[in-house]
Amino acid sequence: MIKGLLKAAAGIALAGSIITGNIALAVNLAADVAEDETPQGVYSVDIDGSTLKVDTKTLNLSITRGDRTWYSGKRFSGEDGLNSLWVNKLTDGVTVGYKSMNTGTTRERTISMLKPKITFKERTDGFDAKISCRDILVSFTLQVRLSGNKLQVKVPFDSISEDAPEDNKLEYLIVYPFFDSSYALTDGEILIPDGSGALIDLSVPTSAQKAYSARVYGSDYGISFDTITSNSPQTASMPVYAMMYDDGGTMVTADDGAEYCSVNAYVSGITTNYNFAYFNWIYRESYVKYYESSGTDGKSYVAFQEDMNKFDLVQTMTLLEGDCDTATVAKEYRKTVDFKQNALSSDRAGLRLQFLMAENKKGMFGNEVVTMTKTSFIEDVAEEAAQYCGNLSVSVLGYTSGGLNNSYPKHFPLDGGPGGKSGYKKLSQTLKENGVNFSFTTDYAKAYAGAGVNEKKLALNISNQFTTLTDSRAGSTAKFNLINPDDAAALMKGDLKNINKYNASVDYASVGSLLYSGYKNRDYDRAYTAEKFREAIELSQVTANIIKPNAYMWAVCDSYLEMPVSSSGFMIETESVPFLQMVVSGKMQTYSTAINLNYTGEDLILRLIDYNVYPSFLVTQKDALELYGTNSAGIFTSSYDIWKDTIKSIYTQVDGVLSAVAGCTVEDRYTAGNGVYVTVYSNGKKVVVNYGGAEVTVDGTAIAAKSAAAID
Amino acid sequence: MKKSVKKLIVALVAVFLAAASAILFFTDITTANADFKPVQAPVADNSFTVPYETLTAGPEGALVPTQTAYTPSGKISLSSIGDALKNPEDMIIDKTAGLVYIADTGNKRIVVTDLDGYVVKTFGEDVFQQPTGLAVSDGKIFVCDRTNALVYAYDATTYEVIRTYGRPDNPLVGANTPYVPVKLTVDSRGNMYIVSEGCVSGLMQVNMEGEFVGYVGANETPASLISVLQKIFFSKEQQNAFLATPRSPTNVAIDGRGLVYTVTNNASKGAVKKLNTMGNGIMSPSINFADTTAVSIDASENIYTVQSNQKDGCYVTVFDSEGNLLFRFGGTDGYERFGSLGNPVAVSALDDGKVMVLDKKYGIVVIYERTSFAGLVFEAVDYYKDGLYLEGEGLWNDVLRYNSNFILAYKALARANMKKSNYSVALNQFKYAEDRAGYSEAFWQIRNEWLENNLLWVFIVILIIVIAAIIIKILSRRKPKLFIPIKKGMKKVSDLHVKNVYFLKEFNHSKRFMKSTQDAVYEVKYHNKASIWTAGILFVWFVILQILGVVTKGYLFNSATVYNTNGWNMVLITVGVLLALVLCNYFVSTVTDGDGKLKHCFICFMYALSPYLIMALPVFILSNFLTFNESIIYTFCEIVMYGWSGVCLFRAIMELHDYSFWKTVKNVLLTVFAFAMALLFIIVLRMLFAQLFGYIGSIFGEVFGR
Repeated sequence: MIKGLLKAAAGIALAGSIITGNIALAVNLAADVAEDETPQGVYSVDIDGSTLKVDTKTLNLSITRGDRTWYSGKRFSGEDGLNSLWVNKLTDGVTVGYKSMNTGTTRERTISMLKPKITFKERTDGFDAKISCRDILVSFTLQVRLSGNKLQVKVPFDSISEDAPEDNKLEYLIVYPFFDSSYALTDGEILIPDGSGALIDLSVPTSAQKAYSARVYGSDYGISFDTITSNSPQTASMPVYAMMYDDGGTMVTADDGAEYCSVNAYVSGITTNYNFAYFNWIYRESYVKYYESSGTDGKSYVAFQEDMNKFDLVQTMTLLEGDCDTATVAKEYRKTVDFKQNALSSDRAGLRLQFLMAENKKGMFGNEVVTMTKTSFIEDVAEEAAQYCGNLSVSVLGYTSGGLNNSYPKHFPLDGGPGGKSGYKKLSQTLKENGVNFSFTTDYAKAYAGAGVNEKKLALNISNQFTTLTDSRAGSTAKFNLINPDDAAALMKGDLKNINKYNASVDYASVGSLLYSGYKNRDYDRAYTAEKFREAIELSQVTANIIKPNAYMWAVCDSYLEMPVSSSGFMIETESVPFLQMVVSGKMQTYSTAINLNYTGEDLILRLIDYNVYPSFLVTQKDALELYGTNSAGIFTSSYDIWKDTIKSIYTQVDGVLSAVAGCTVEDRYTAGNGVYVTVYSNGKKVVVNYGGAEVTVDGTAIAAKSAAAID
Repeated sequence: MKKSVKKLIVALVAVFLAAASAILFFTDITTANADFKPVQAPVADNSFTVPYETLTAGPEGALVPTQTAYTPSGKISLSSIGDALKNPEDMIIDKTAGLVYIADTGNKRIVVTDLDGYVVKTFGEDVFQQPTGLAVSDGKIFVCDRTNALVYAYDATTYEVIRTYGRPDNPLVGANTPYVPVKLTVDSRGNMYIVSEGCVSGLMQVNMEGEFVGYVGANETPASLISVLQKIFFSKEQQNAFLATPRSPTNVAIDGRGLVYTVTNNASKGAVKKLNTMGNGIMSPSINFADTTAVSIDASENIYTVQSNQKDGCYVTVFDSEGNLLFRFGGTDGYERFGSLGNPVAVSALDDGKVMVLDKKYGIVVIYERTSFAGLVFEAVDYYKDGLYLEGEGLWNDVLRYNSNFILAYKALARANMKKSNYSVALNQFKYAEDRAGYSEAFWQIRNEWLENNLLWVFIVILIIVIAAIIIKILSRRKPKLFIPIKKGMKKVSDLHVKNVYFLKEFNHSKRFMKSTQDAVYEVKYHNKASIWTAGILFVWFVILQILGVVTKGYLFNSATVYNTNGWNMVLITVGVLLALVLCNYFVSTVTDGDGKLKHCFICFMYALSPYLIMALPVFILSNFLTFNESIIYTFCEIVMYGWSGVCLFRAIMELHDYSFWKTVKNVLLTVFAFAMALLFIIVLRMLFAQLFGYIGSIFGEVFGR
């Protein structure tokens, strides 16, 4: 009776509150009276101490493990505003997106809305369900396996069939979008892989109008033709998200086919009153097709991908018990990732100095090369910096004959201005003697438009144009063509002899972060590109420092360069967290973007310490004023002489704390007051960062305002 | 019975809860209470990766990237308490009381919050139809209501209406003058400056008694050739119907000194104007942004503006009090990221360096915090504004550490070095700052110093030369034998180079062209005094002079640099234009009874340019020694050079084709016309060939490249 009473009261309260506009209150009340809906399962099986229950009609499932039950979707009785699609999405195991070729529109339906015929096959470790959507004549098999705390969901590519593709084409699949979802304002968080990682607090009403949605590993430039601008958001470089609550949670990873999915997160107030996240598995996409392959006349129409992306959909839900937070998920995710064995390591914090050697500038009758840094100057700098830094890395950029602009994918021969062959040889020797790591910054995925690259090496997009990437920033716009992964790998191999001649390691730009498919006679997919780049680096057997590497590149990565130290700041997010840093901690060295170009003061130094990221600077011998009018005009301050004191000061502060935890993994992280963060490392040391304006005491140690310390 | 009791209890509880929720809602919004929740919603800390690039004014008037100047630090969003702002149009901050007033236009009310975002009060729900403008002064809140066509004055303590202001009763406010108050500001004496929508006469100044004082800050009609012709030829009625009217201001603000600033949205010039007490514009920002929607001025008189353009993006742009652009940040908003803007309509600068921007699209107020770099710039700007160049020198040097392209820093440092008499350093800095007036000043000082130090030596050298000349003259008279070998040698050289060398002899004909053009042309036509080869050399020299002009002209008189000039283009254009003019003249003259042959046309054209060909290089070199004070000398030289060449050319055409004066004029005009036609033809041809080559190229690309 009490239950009924409350339900009725909640309903009326909801109505009353809608009248007054106080939605948040209504939502809270309704959430309080939520009613669990266990699947109307006909199949129940105990596996490894867990009980799996499945509704064989909708494939809605629940898993009971210990005191907690994970639901693939449950309705709350207070929610009565959902349309039939959302009601079904809550309870159905699979949502299908398909393109109606007759109307040209994308439709989204759950399996039970598509006149399904489900052939359910019980298994001791889960079940198989062959689903035939008779409405659209699409069928596929869903394989669900439970092992320990891992629930794996798989849709093998071979199982997918389309009987009438001329009428309906499969566009995407979503499996269990409401797994471990919650309703209205509730204590809990969603962890999303945006940049360094971000939390969406479920207990706070959102002012966002848009959900979080990001393509895992970034756009496919073979299809999407995006432009990189100065305000492009951060990439989702890890195929993972998590639902986190006080009593447990779920980490969801895309294991196979991650190249073809996007990660999405919704909170109460956006579309529905549910908090949920899911991977959207993309089989086909719409794209802009130009009538002319040059695309210069701009005449185009929207076309739809003919062939499906070939991948096995494999999604794993890891069931987490107990209080669940970012550190819990990071440790769990770390277990699933491959890291490079014997990666470069040091017991000191690192310092990376990247030198721009030469750039070219338009003169009256052709380009003139502006030498920005001499190799002899770097020798002096390295000797000076090695006095206080025990883990110094020197990288050179723009060393190619003719300077940086228009050089890629050509890297050698070396430009004579900075020192030529002999200069670099001597530099390499001096650095070696001083124990300094030396590397060449390279980019094998990009070819400057007009760099004279054989067109057969250039990737073609789905619209049969050369796949281009435009980097548009104030002061400069660079346009690149992308190179076929096979050709890029050949170029990498070709340069090895030169690189080894100087005992250098390699800083890889683009190959770790750009993922694109190729069409026409190229015909390769994103997975192939990823594999080819990874393999090429592995075969080169050099120390590989990779700029913004996606998760699949970590297996060959010694140092993570240009690591993001925040999320993109989407309105839906409530906090940036160092999830990425926690995952890779102890497995590779991590370096920031050029601090001199993003210097926001002492908080930045604290952030580096907090996130365990080593400082990096882009410097030159000459003043940056010389770069005005070049494609490197975005480098507005770079003179080493101007920055050397700051470099030393920042490094000393960072090293003072982070050398205590060098090479250690993060085990825990928590707050110890407003603006005070404590990160616990595997050697038992704690790094405390106090962003606040007042002194705090943590474990008996006083930490001054705006400072950081490593404590036992 | 039991059932009915149950139902009764259920009903009672439901009613109670519904009532409670309603009460809670209204209490939250309408009364001040210590338990209020702040409406500053939590946001992800992305101050390390802001969703925009920050720009500043760089060399050549370009916007260049710089260190982040502002990071988004918070937002005021009533949606977190379920009562979102709806299409808010204006925001004003009472800095003394620490209150934020927001015209919540869509909800027909005014919302008052404190600076932390706690809702203090809402009022006017029953009064307003379309509140669009706000001002606060002397304990009063002024609200413009567009639909009611009234300005309301509220007591800031009791939130009671004190009085309303309707259409001013004054003959100057005619029946045809629209009175649609949309924005306003109020000065310390209580005068209101009202933006009346569609009122082209400017802001309406109305005193506290509601009396009309006058119009201020009217915009000017953009002048165009058509408008000038319309003014000349149209009757008054026609002018009223067709003449473009000036744009009416769209927003207004006031600074601490009582100077009024107007905003005119969509004005390509003078989008933001600072008015003096007479209502005249005394400053307009260095770079104009037509899509400016609002302006605010801080205690140091720095100017904060916001721009809203759905296509090009939304920005916050900050100028110093003189209108120099300091920072600009923002961009297109496609991602809904914290710190990016959807449609900024109001801006307020706080004394602690924060900037609040009201975003109409999202119904939020975004709070931006100054970075240490921006703090440094503002501190340095304060010194610069007050003329304390030496005191600000250290700060500007620090600014340059963070951005080598910060133009204003070079300007300020140059001024400091001028004060310290480091003129050569100042000279370079003025050059970086592209401050030609300052450069001229520094150069004048350097030249003056040089003259002071070396004038004696200059006189001594001149004296020595004069004495030597006198001695030589005397000696040559008294002892001529001494000079016989020299005279013989000179004669040989003279014979060799002037009389016997064909080319030099022909070049000498240039003098004749300059002195007596018609005779010179006659001699070319009938005595072959100049050949096509020498004319060709003059032609090449003309082309070389164009390049030398870029390289050798003094900075003060030269806008081109080797970096912004394409040498090949310059050569191509010069050659093309010159040859085309010769050809056009020849063709025109052949159909208008001209006598000149093509060869003679070319020769005479080139020789007629002799004044320019001879004088240009010396004038270019001379320009390196002049300042703006002596620019008249440079201008005079140019007039002589071009004028003389023009006259020579005209007379050459006249004689060449044997024309009368007016026939020559006609010929010149027809030549220009033919040239224009030829140019058009070349452009069309070029486009066609580009397409053809593009087509062939794409076929090759398809076959061999893909």
